[in-house]
Formats: sequence, C-alpha cells, structure tokens
Amino acid sequence: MSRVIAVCLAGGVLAMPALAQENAGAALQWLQKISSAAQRLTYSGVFVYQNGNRGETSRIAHLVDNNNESERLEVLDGSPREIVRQNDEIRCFLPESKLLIIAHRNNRRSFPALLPKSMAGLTEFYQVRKGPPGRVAGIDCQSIVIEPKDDNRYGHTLWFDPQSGLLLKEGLLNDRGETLEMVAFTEVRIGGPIEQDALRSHLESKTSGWQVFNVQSSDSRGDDGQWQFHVLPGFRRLSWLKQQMRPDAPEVTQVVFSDGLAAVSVFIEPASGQEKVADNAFSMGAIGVYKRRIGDYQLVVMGDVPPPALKRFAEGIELRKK
Amino acid sequence: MKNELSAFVDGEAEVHEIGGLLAAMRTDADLRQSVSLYRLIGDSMRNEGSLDRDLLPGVMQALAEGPVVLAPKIRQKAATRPLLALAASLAGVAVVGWLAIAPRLPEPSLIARTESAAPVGVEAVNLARVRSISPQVSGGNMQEYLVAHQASVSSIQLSSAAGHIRTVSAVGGQ
Repeated sequence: MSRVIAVCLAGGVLAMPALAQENAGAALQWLQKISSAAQRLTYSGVFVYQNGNRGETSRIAHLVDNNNESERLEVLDGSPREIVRQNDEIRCFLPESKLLIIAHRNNRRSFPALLPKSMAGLTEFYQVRKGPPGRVAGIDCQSIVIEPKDDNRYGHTLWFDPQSGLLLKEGLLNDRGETLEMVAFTEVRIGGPIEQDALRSHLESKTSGWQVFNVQSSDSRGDDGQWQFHVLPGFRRLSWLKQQMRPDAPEVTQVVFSDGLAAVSVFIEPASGQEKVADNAFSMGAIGVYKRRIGDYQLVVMGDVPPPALKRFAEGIELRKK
Repeated sequence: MKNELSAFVDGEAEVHEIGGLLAAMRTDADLRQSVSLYRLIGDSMRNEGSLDRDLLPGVMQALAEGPVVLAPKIRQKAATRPLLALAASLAGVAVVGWLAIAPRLPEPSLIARTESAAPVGVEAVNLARVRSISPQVSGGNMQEYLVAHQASVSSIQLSSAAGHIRTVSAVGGQ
C-alpha cells in the first residue's frame, strides 16, 4: 500500500512539469492567434480604457480589405480626440491642443518574421499560462495570464474570443497584482460591413489654424558606436530611427528595444541650453518617462516598464568617448 | 528504519524510538537527508511550503531503494487507517498537481491610482520625483515622442486599441 501511495505522489510530481508545459504551449499558440487576429480581422465596437482613477470610453472601427488596413478611434468622453490610420500612416487629432500629429509605423514589414521569435523568447522572462474562461462584451472568452519572472516588466492578463482570436480585454498588472491599466470592449462586432463614415476623420475639416507636426522617420543603419546600451535582460533592439519631430527642431535619434511585450524607446537629441538639468522621471499613464542628460545630449527614455526598471534602463546608457 | 523515520517525521514515533533515531542522525548524514526528504514530502502533501524542484530526484531514488512509508500508523493501527492515508495522499497529489496548473488569476480590480499616490515601486528605488503628468505640462513636447514611440512599437502590440488609446488618452482629454 505504501508503495502505491508513493507512486501516486511521484506520479503527481512527474505530471506537473508536463502539464505546466502543455498549458504554456497552448497559451503561446493563443497569443500568436491574438497577434495575427489584430491584423487580419475586421471589427468595430466600443471599449473602455481605465488608467488609475481615470476612465474613458472610445469607439473603434477596423477594416481589412484586400490587405489594406483602415482604422479609426474616437474618444467619446471629454475632448473628442481621434486617431485615423490608413495602413502605416497614423493621424492623431488633438482638438484641445489644436494639434495634428502625423506619424508612420515603422516595423510593419518585419512583423510576420518578428512574431514567432518573440513568442518563443517570451517564456524566458514571462510565465505564460491559460487562465480561466470569462465573458466580455457578451462573448464567452478565454484568458491568458502572463506573469513577469523579474521586476523589469509588468504582468498582463488577456481575454480573447477563442473563435476569432480578437483580444477583448487586456489588463496591465504591477508586481502586487494590481491593475494599472485596462482596455475592455463593452460591445463589439466581429466582421463587416463597416460604413466608410466610421473610418474617415470627423475632425479633418475643422483643423484650420491647427499646428501640424509631421514626424518624418527614416530607418537608420547607423549604430555609429557612439552609444552603448546596457539593456535590461530580455530586451533586444527592434529599430534605430532618425526622427524629425518638428520642422524647426534638430533631428532626433530613436532606438527602440523590446522583450516581445514591453517596449522602450530611447530618444537622443542635442541638449538645448547650457544649464545642467537634473534627471527627471514622470509617467503618462502606464508609460514611464525618464529624462537624462549625458554630455551635450538630452535623452528621453520612454516605455511601459515599471519606473525603477526604466531608471535602470536609462542609467545603462553610455556615451563612448571619441 | 524507514518506518521509524517516517513515524518520527510525522511526530508519531514512540519515545524509545526517538532517542535511538536522534543518536543515529548525529552520525549518519544519509539519515539526516532522508528526514529532510520525508519532511518535504509531508509538506507537499499537506500543501505547506513550496515544492522544491530538487525533490523529484530524491523521491525517485527513495522509490528505487525501497518502500517509503508516508503514513506510519499503517503498520499497527486500525484497519481503516490505510484507506484514510491513501485518500489523504491522493488528495495531496491532487492539490500539488492543481497548484501547478491552477490559474491564479485575480479578478481584475480597477484600482484607482490617485495623483498623490506614487507609481509602482517608486519607494523601492527612491524615485521620489516620478509623478503622473500630462505631456503638456512636462515642460517639453512629449506628444510627438509618445506618438513616435507608439508608432514604432505597433508591431508588437496585440491590440491597436490599446496602443492608440494610450496616445490620445495621455495627451489630451479632460
């Protein structure tokens, strides 16, 4: 009898890693499905964005037609901000600031190749597993729990429609399991048709007198060896860009790093003014910002990682002596 | 000896057995190791403490060497005990297995973070100056940086809603 008991126990112990592995494998496959669904699905709906004590409702429409992507997001509460995207061009309308910012997505062409690699690498720094089923916006959904293995990144919980793969709800969690940020559909319609009016800007005709910042970005091959980045574990460089933020401003170098889920941008530009400004940290929602001056350069380090990790990231940047 | 050891670990050994075992443990390293192993097994069955990853080789070795008695009173006590012990063992395995696969997903609570509250982990590294801020009052042109950042990382975002809303929510609104 005792041997039976021991074998039962050992069997249980042996089964654990296999079950956990199977669980993680299924979760990773779903993660991949979610990623591709975001690109290929046509959908429309209303979602709530909660950040700290602030919540806003927005409407989104996303159309994929012959490999062309059109998208419009309109904030329904407060100032009617709007983002309209046609393939890689993003137009961001900010009526309160009377500002239109035009930017371009940079990494789209590398997307299919990038994805599987990052998914496999995720498990080194995150524990990925299936969560319980749930219900969001009237749709029975499945959840995935992504927990960081160190204090350099946030945790995520994702709820998605198992049929289509569409992400219906996403939470960003701190190391105490508290929700820092939440995006959740309250109603959603997967599939078309979508009226053209739902995709065109409603503010474009009202931008007379607005400032327009057309952020011109170009790929730069240029790691000239001037800068050394001692990045956080798991982060690798995604791109190295030259950005012209404003016509009258100097060109800014932007280096983007990611661990597959979290991303950190380092903006490097010539420092204006001679005065020494102390290092400065603040946050814009879940996005942390750490400003640092090195030599004659001003660095802005920005990303969705915990503030202490962002500080370590910023302090790991060195200007090499020529 | 294994039966005595198992009883000792479970606190069910007779007084005269304990003296002998303690004396033997002083000189016998293998015996001490066995006690540790049996305690780990007991802890895991009772769901106390964490299951050490190194436990498995020890369990397998112990199995190879001979019967491991996990319910010491089986040997002489009432006939119902083995069944109870087996049930407890299976329950223990079930609990251990469940812990390995069970989701620990907390029901998401939208915990408010007030302006006065420090962001996550700030105290730990003395980032006293970290504060939640709108880019307009940051003394700089953070809007463009934020838009450029979100545009650059769109390839890794799982949902365009989440990426876009960060941009417009942080740079505008009430």
